[in-house]
Amino acid sequence: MKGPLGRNLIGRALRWEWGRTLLALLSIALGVAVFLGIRLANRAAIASFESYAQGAGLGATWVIRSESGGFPEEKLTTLEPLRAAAKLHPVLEGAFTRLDREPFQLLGLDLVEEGPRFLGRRAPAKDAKALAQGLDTLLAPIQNPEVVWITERLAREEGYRPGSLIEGWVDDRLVRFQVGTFIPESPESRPLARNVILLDLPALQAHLHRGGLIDRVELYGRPGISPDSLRETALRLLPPGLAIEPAELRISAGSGLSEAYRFNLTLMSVVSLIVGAFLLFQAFDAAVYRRRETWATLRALGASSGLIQRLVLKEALVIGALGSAAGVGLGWLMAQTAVQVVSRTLRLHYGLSNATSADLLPEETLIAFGVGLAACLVAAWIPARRASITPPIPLLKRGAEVLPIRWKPLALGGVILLLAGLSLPTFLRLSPGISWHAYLGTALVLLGGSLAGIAILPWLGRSGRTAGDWIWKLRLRPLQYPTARHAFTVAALAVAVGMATGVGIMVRSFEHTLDAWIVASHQADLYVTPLGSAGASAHRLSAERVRALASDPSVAATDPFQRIPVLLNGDTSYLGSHDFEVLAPRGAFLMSRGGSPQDVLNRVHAGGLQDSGALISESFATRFHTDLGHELAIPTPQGPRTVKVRGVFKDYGTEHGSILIDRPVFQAWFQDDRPAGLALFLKPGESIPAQARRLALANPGLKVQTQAENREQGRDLFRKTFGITYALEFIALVVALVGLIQAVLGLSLARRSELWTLRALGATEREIARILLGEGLGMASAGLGAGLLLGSLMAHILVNQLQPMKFGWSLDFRVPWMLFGAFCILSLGVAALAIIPATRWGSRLKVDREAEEGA
Amino acid sequence: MRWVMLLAPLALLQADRTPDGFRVARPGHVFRFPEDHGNHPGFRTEWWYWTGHLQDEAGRAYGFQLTFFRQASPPSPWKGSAAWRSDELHLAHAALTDVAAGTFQFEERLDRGGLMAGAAPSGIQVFHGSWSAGADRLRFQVRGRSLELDVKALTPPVIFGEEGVSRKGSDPTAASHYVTYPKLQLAGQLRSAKGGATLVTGLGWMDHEWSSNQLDKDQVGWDWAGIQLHDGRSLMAYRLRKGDGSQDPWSSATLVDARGQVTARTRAFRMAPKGTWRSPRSGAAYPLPLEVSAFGETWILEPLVPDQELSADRPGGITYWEGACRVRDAAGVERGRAYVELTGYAHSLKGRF
Repeated sequence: MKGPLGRNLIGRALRWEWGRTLLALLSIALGVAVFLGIRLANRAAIASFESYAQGAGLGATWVIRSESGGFPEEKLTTLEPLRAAAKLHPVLEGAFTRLDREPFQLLGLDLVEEGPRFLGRRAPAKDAKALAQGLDTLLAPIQNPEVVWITERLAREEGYRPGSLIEGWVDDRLVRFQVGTFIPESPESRPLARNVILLDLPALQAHLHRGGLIDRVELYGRPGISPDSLRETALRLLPPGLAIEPAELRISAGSGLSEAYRFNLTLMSVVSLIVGAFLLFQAFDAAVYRRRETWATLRALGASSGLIQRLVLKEALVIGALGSAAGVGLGWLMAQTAVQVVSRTLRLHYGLSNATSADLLPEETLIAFGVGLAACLVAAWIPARRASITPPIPLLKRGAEVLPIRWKPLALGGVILLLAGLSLPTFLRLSPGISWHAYLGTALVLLGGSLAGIAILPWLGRSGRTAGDWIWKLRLRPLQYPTARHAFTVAALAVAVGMATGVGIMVRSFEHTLDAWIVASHQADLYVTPLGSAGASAHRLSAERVRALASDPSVAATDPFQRIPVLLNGDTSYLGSHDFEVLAPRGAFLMSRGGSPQDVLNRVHAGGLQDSGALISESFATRFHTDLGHELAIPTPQGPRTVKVRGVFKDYGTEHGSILIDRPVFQAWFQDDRPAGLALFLKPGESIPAQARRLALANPGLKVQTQAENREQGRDLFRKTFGITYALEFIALVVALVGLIQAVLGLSLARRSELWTLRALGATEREIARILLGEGLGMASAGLGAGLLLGSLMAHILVNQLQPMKFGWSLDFRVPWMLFGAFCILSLGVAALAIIPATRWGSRLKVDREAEEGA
Repeated sequence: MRWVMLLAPLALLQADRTPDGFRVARPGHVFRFPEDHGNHPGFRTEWWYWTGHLQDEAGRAYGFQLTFFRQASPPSPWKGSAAWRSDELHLAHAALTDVAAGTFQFEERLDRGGLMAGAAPSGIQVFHGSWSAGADRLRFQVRGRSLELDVKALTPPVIFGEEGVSRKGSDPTAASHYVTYPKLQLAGQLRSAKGGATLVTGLGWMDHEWSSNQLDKDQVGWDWAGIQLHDGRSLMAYRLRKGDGSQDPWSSATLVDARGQVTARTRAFRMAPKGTWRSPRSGAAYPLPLEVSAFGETWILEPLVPDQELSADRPGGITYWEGACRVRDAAGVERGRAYVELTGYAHSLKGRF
């Protein structure tokens, strides 16, 4: 079918059936748009983290940092021999909050060594005056700790000039910076994030009160030095307490919660693709069925089955190309919205304000386009096969019977796959963090469950055999003897509903679990932190401020809290400290193992420095193969210190795991009396809002939040994090319902000859409606039932197995009954509504077939 | 002489102190050693400079340069921290010439005083990262090769200039205190990047100079040579070049005998090109070989390896040629070894630092 005839057949089909074409185009555009939108938003989020975590952002190969706490600067001298193989850049980071509460990242570098490269590779000054000016610019931040360099972008957008003042807070202290110069955007290097403020290293040490400490040393390998040999050299030189890790690891560790966040986004993009493919399948299947006569005619004229198959696939390609092109545009628009959501989340949790727009890269466009085409081809494959095997002769007789499918082997195979899918993550125990079997199990459950769901149709139609009423018989006959189209419709609907259900349960379970965790871990009346982002660990409270707040007449007790990154066996985790004596009578933790929080905290506190104990989070227990009674060696500036695990608690703040020790022990080991924040327990009778207002007024550099505000902030973070998944879930459901409408209409069309006969026999519109309604609702129910069931099984794997495996988190399995109800009402309602036009069309069929044929 | 000019400021307005409070080299300074080998933080600029010719057991020849510079920042209330001083910058250069291989490698370091670099006030004890120099030991690495040398002075220190002051220009404050060991006995180990060690011995030269102002306004660069003759004598000569290419009258040559005594000093000497070597990197044309005529004698200084240019890869850095040379007389007979420094050819040094 080459040349004009083939083109005509495709073009005519697309033009004449414009409704179907539009629907198919919309499906593919929507699927591609969701896929692309999520990828772009994800990339923007990652880029945002990278620009934050990379700091100088010039592509360090390795990073050397302390296993815990700060990196004592005197240890730099031991790394001296590394200079032959790499450039060494010491880095200190901090946080700054402008008076208008805009957060900034402070980056302290040795500007004597590194300053020139930030000012660009400028040609040698032409005269003494230019040279002197250049030198003044370079020396200004070195000789004056208030002078900072800012990015050109910040200067441009905020109207800063050299000499402009930027006032704000570092920790709880008011500081004033003076703009020295702007860091130009250089094509040679990755641009700094907008809100990075560059200072000379000792100046930042002074501002942060972190004299003698840096955060890390970045290694930039010299030409000809391989990363591996550089690492080996570094390992030979590293003194105890320091560790080397890939620069990317620091970035991924820094991104913390984002891994879970990205995981969920990716999961949703897969859902959208699968559901989109379902819709496409429906569209192609309907189109192919509607043109059975065409295929039969072509076959009768001698066209081979391969030729017909190619014709359908070419049509799919045309739709795929047009739809993908539209999807790319739509996806870009969606991404802009998604980026705003992502930026809000990151800003709230991490203090990142460099909202990155979702730029469309050529490779992203190509991938999305390719995925769109591939989805079209995959979705059209079975309809194309079906078209290609259309028998030429029987179909020339209008109304030829389509044989029922042999559903039993399919259903049996589905059950086997379903059981295999459930067994895989249940019985196969792999190392923590490895989760491929859970993904495979989910896919098998999805596939097997959708096939097994076909068996629901004959089960629903079984009463048709014995029914006395002819309408009942006709209504249930298609269910009793389902065709391939019935089976595929049910299977596809089951997949779509199942995916939406599975993710819905997971999100609800997350929401419920986190809510309980937020409530349990926020027991204090007030929370005091330095101004700035909630998650920025760079913020600290001064010891004086802590003492002053603790002695406030309204305060009964305080819990100074702290969390620092630690390296254990080369893996990043977190070490936190709380005042266990204060928290013990107040609960404050959701324990997983080890006893009640009161008992565990009291035991750890009683152990003191002599018999030091610790609580570990579930994630930590999973990642580090540690459990109750085990001993842990915690790296401290004074060398490793051993603690015994006395309890395992639930912590959803990080998937990297955390260890908690008592505040006095932390202070003794780390000599650090500046906590990240302070939880205040007020005396009985004190008004929490009134005290919050009073303390906020008295401490303008501090953020004072009530318990309710703090909890709400946690919930809000969750909502923002998962906000996009709700939207995508809705899209998936809409797509599934549109597919259902198509299926119902298509099947009604398939019963055309039967309806003719019924009309000829005198069946009324109402009777035809009842027949079609039974078939439509039966299929919707089968798809819905199977979908809800397999969605629940899938959620079981996601919630009870994948999350503990991947992140070590145990979640409470919660079913969103409202969502389930909405699914049922919508699916059945939509199926019923879709029957109305089909019924009207069926009832208006000419009773005289000959007359119709002659028309 | 030499690097102090690179690092010196332009103006000096009063005799004993610069306007920003640094001390000025004045006649009558009483030298005390080892204290005067140490740091002089009251002066703006100071450097310690070792060069030398080495030979391994197989007779393979090497040249090396190890230089430590200290430059005070313009005075300011903020001094940084003890580890990261803002009032003191340190620059260091190390270079190794492998004559047989015809290679020249160098490294540059720039840090501030404190943790990464510093100089003790009590004697020769300077360091910059893992590079260090003491009265009797040098240690540094260049591109993976490391050199550790025991040092023994064969003469007492030589003090150049008149009344302890080495003048560099018509302005009386354009001057420095300039102390040299023209002959150092060297013995030690050269380690390759792969770890193999070779014993080396040789003869070195050490300069130590401190000042607060040196260059005159119209000087664009200089040619310097430290010559060690086989007969035991040493010659130090510097030719200050003006913008028009002429030799500044404050240029100087000094002859030292084998016992380290200054035997002659003159401003009437000649340094002239005997050829040209053009750098493929900077494009600068250096006067090499270089002919030195002084005290009735002529020496031709021929580079042992042509390319011994230190190319600055740091914005605002200075590119110059500094390398090991063979010394021949006018008849072509080899008479000794030398180190030569040629600045201001890749770019003018006017107004630099």
